[in-house]
Amino acid sequence: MNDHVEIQEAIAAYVTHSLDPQERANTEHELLEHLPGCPSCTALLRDLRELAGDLALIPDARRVSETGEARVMTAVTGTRPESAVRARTAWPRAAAGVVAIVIAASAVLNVIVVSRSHQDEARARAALQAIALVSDPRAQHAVLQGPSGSLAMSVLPTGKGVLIAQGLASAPSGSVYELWLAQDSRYVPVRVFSPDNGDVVLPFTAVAGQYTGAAITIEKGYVTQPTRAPSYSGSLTA
Amino acid sequence: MGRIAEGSSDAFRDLYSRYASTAAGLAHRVIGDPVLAEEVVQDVFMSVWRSASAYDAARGSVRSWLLTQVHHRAVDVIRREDAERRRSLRQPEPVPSDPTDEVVEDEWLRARRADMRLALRTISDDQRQVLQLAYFDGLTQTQVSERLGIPLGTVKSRTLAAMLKLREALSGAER
Repeated sequence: MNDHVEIQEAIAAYVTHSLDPQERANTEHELLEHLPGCPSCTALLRDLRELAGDLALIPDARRVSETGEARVMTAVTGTRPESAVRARTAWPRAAAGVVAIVIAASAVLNVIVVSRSHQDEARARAALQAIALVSDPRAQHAVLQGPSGSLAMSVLPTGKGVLIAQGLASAPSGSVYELWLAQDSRYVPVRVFSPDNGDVVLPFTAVAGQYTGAAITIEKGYVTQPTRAPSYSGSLTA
Repeated sequence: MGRIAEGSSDAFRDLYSRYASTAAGLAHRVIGDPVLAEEVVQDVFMSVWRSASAYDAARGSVRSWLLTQVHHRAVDVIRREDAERRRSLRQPEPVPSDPTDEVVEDEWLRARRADMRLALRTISDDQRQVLQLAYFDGLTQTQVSERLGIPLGTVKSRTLAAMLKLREALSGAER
């Protein structure tokens, strides 16, 4: 997707949530590649995102039940935001995971820059963005263990994340890998992918939320529920 | 949002008081089911409380950030629940018969709502129809194309044109 108008149309579709999950994941990937070098499309995304939020004002407001309000306020009163908790307690535990994943991202970046700099500028940019993301103090991290090693993954509370691996075997012929985020026992589809000569630098944006883990299955194509047991899985930690 | 991220339940209550009814109106418009709509609103507000630090002021207003999450969650629900089936089974709404009758909104929000409705009149019927199906009925652009029997490219271009026209119409009414 290189045409400027196509990018603008993609932004309009993206902010109005009128893409299916696979289209959305693809669009996010394309925007991630295009926006850093395009101030006008970046500004358009900001404007149309704001506008899409304001479309919400068109329906009549609707009174919420006292029960619902009480439920929300009770839940809030009994807990603290993760940022407030994490700011006081989590850094030592987070450090090891961040370091491991930054090292993994750096290794992939190194491979790209050293050996294929002519062809892979976009991938190098994606790897740099990946390093920024995994270094974000708000990120949760997971190491997904499987039969042929492990993959590293980081995700922000916004749902933006990245999956990183080196030396990942190709999925069986006619199949792809699919990444999932887990909310306890529920799996949320993220996107499908295939390694490029064993390398994976996969930016993604999932639905914002609190996730407890991540998994990768081998599927025939994009599916909304896993059809097989995960080949790789791991728990998310701060 | 900074106070909420630091754990201020008072600040959170203010946010809830200001936007919960708008969020409920949107979720109900998309989902068409008052119970599911209220669940969406509760889920989003609880998510906002847990991850308030995710808000980035450089990317837009709190209002837009919050309502975008409500819309995204509502669309997810309706796609999961099968919109047509749910609408066909929809029961009469219990309360309130006039959804605005007990909603108290601040003046700014009421004025912004009026601006948006006026701006909506500036786009063509074709553009409004596409936006209606995609944003308020939760259809994907491919589904809109099939529903209207028009090429997908036309849906894409009408959606962009509608958004640009709305932006232009609102530029004179920025609040």
